[in-house]
Parts: sequence; structure tokens; C-alpha cells
Amino acid sequence: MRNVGYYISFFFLILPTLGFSFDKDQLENDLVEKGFENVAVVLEKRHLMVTYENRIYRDEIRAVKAVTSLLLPHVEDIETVTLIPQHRKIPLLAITIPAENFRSVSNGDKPLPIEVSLDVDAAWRKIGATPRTNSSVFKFDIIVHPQFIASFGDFEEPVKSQINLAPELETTLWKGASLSAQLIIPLQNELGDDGDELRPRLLTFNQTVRFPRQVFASTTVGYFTRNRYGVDFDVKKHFANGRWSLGANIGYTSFAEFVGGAWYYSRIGYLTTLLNAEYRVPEFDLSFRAMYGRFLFRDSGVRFDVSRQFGEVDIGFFALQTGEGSNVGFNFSVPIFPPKYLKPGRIRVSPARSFSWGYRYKGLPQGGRRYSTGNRLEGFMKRLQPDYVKNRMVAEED
Amino acid sequence: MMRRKWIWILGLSLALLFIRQPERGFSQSMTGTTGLLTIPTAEMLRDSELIVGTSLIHRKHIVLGQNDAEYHGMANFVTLGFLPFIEVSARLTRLLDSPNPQAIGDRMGSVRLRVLAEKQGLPSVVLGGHDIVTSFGDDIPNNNFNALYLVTSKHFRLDPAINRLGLHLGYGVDWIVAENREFVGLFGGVSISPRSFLTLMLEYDTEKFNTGVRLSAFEHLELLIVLLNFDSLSGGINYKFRL
Repeated sequence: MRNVGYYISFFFLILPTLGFSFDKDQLENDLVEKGFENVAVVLEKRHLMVTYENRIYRDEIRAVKAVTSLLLPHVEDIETVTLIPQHRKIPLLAITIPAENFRSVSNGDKPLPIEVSLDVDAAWRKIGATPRTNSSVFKFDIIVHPQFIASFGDFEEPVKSQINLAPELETTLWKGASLSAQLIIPLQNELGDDGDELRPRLLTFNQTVRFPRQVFASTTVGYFTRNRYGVDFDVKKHFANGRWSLGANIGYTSFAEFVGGAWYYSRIGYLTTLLNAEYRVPEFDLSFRAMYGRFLFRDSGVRFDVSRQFGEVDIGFFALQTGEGSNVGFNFSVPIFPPKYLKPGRIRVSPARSFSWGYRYKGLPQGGRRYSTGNRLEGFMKRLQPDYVKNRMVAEED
Repeated sequence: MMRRKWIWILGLSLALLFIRQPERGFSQSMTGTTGLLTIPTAEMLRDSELIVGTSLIHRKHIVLGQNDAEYHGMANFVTLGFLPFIEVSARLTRLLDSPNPQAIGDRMGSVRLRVLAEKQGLPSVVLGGHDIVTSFGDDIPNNNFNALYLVTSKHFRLDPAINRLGLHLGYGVDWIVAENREFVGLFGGVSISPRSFLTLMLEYDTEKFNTGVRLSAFEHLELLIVLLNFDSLSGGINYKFRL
């Protein structure tokens, strides 16, 4: 599946001449057999709409291509296909492939004719009410995350590190709702005695909702990283098909720690409030992000990020200025082998999709810090920003 | 003795057999940024190209902390073509076997911006800043390899014996507060690539002349052999690939 144009030309131009007929049930079965979940197919006039949730492929672009190839034997006289990937049964975006454009492309007239839109409202009204097969609800995933934490700069011990495995048990409860429990299993530790203990990292319940007009909201309650427990609320509004976004994050959390088999916690909490704005440069999958507000430890200030997506690899740089001081650093995320997982079942074990790591020029342990809920809206789109999808499809076409 | 000689001949033959035309692109100096031997040039990495490498710098020519030409230096670097016109680099430099505490070594970040791409009749122009993240708000600067410069490069195709000729000229200023600086004043050099895997270089780094050779292999691997000031053997090795 190197050439999307080839497949699309194939199923729009060649297959109709072979006299195949559309079989909705068979197509759904094929998608389910492949391992896709929450599958629904609707054919309206000559517009085929397919929605699915991918937990089979590490890379969502590869999943799009796999779905496209499965469509090939099932279509006849189709003019347009719309694919709607989901996350926790919530539609993410619409990838529309009009046949007219493909015919032009096959003549070498136009660029790759894929339209990718964050606006799924119209298509979702038609397909969202259709019963979906192979539900992802109450299927449990044990996702094994590797962790590497390092501390640099001590003259006596220049590098101190900690390596952990952090398996996470996760399941979808209903549309947009998930339950997650993550444990840290220490493998190697030079960062103090606390790091030698088996301990929880996340214990969370999350409800994410997609509203009309590209507004997403997410609420998480439970125990988060950096020894915080409480409630966290995220909201984000996308503009210009995802090129701009404005968001806010409000959390009310208190200290909690699991030590020696017992919980120690404080009832006194405080608010963290952050506003953010993001702009994406479509040509380079480059994003600029500014964040302003109150971080953890009641530290207020501003943070700027610039990051770029290189296929499945992300590399970014940041600068922040807060009450604790100024700092700069970089972060990156690389995919973890393998590119394809076992089919989701009642319970499944798989590695995390990626490994992320960041470096701060200065330690500043209380400067510009945030806790993680494991459910930030930045990650909810599964990297499926419209321009990124187009760029990947075109790049791999070449 | 004869056996050792044949092993050498076999090894060299195999190495030459596998040496291939490198992909179009440019190479790293010992400092980690794209350049000749030590000086930066207006050549840039290709978009999304990543290089990891290490260099050994002769003790007479590394200025770091209290080193008084006693210990050789080692520079480990990662350089990325972050955008088609921006190259970023991170480098860690340590003195080898120094009894003085160095923590993890001297950290250095660099950014280079191409303001003009090379065209027929026009050279490429790059604005660069090395070790620009200094003490960052502290009173005492601790940047040892600071540089701020404008550099131009122009390449020519010549007869088959020379193949590719590169001319490079730059000027650096001392506008950033720093503990130590490099490339302040006029610097420049010339590179000749008679074969696709071989580049011969001569440069002036504002203080001394250096010469050296770069060998490329397997499209990804590069070896740099340098004579700093024509008397101090140094060198580096790096591996490059595209993300």
C-alpha cells in the first residue's frame, strides 16, 4: 500500500467495470475481521461513509490506508467515500475522497484529491446513528510504557537515572469515557529511595465530549502524575480546519503520595489555570504554541513551544518564563516497535505507541511544571490533524 | 608480517568497495554544525536530516574551563535540519581524563538560519549563532564556544580531476556576552571533492590554518581527519539519516 492514488484510481475506475456489487455487511465484516472497532458503513446514493476506530495500527495514517484497501472489493458506482476515524467512539475528522478528483488525478491534472476536514457534523448526522459493530466498550488494554528519567549536572554524579516499566490498564466505558490505572515498576533507580517502590502513576476516570463546531472538552478525576489528585478540565476550540486553536485548562488538585503501602494526602488544594493558543504551519507540520497562566506550585508565567511532526517522530523546543525563572529545552517522541498490534479482545497486552522524552536546560523543579492526567486534549486527536493527514498521504504517494 | 599486510589490503579493498556516492547534502565540521573542519559554512543539512557524531579535539586547541592544553577534548553532537532553512544543533563537550569535575560537560546549543539559498551566480548565506543559550538569566556567562556570524558559500563544478570546488567566507562578531568565543573576525576556507566519497579541505579559523580530509561511506557514515594548525591530529565520525 505505497500508492494511495493507485488504490483509489483502482476502485473508482477499474472495479466498477468488473461488476462487483456493494455488500454492506461483508464490508463491515472485513473491517471487523481486520481488527477495526466501532465500525459502521452507510451508502447514501453514491456516497459511501465508513467510520471505524483503530487500535490495530500504531500509525493512524497506516490505518487509513488499510481501510482504503479493504474497501476496494466492495464498491461499485461510488462517487465519494468519506472515512471517519474515531477515538473512544468520538468522531475525529472526515477524510473525503471525491471520485471526480480522482479521475482528474489519473489524467495527471490535479494534486492528490483528498479532502480532510475537522467538520464531521454533516457526515456524522448520517452515520452516527447507525449501529456500530465490534464495540470497543469494556475491552481491556494493558499498555506497557517504558520510562526513562535522568538528572544531569551534579558534579559528583553527572548522570543519575531511573528506568521503569509503567503498564497501564485502560478500557472504554461508553462514548468518550475511559477508566485507566497505571503502575510504575522500577527497574533501575539512582534518583532517591522513593523511586525504588512499586507505585501508582495514574488512577483516572475521563469523560471527553465533542461538541458541534469543533469544540472538544475533557474532564478527568483521580490521581495524576507529580503526586496530585483532584479534578482537571480541558477545553479546546479549533478554527480554520485545525490550523488555529484556543484552549483552556483548569485543575483543582492536592498532594497525594503512595509510600510503603499507604496513601498520604493533603486536603488542601489549589487551582492551576492555563490558557493556550496554537497555530500550525501546514507546509511543515510545524506548530507554534503559547501558554499563559498558573502552573503547579502556584508558579505563574508563560511558555512557548515550537514543534514539528516528522512522520511519526515529533521534535520540539520550548522556552518559558515564570516566577521561578527562565528556562529552555527540547522534547521528542519516537514510535515504538511494532507498527501493528494484536486485535483488541477482552484483554490485550501491547507496547505504548511512542516513547517521549524531554530535556530542560535548568532543573527548576518547581518552574513551569504541569501534572499529566493521561487524557490531555492534545493527544486525543491521535495526531490526525487535517494538514498532517494530507501531507502524509501526499508524501507517501511520491 | 605478510599476513597482517594482506589483512590491511583486504580491509581497505572492502572499504573502498562499499564506499558509495553520498546523497546530495553537506557534512559536519568537528563542532557539530555543517561546515569544513572547524569553521561553519553556508551549507545546510537537508530538511529533516539528522546527524549524530563525535569529535576528538587535540588538547592544544580546545579552550574549555581551566584546561591549559593538558587534556584532549571530546565533542558529542546531534544536529537536525529542523526546517529547510533552519538547522539546530546540541553539543556536549568534555575534557578526556581531566581530574577536575565537569558534571556532564559543557552544553551548547546552536541555531543557523539560511537567509539566501545558493543559485546560479549567487552564493548561499547563513546567519549562525553557537552556544547562544548561556547562563540564561544568571549573572555569570558560562558559554565557552559562543559565536555569532554571517557566512557565505559558493560551489563550482570543474573538470573531472577536481569535480566540485567550494569557497567559503564568513565574518564573526563578539556581540554576545560570553566566557569564550570562536570565529570572531574573518574566517574562510576551500573544499575540493575530486571523488564523491572524498573531500579535501583547507581553512582559516581566525587564528590558525587547518587542513583535513573527509571520507563518506554507505551514504550515511562520515569520517573526518584533521590537522589543526598543521601539527595537531584531530578528527571525528558521524552518522546521518533522514527522519
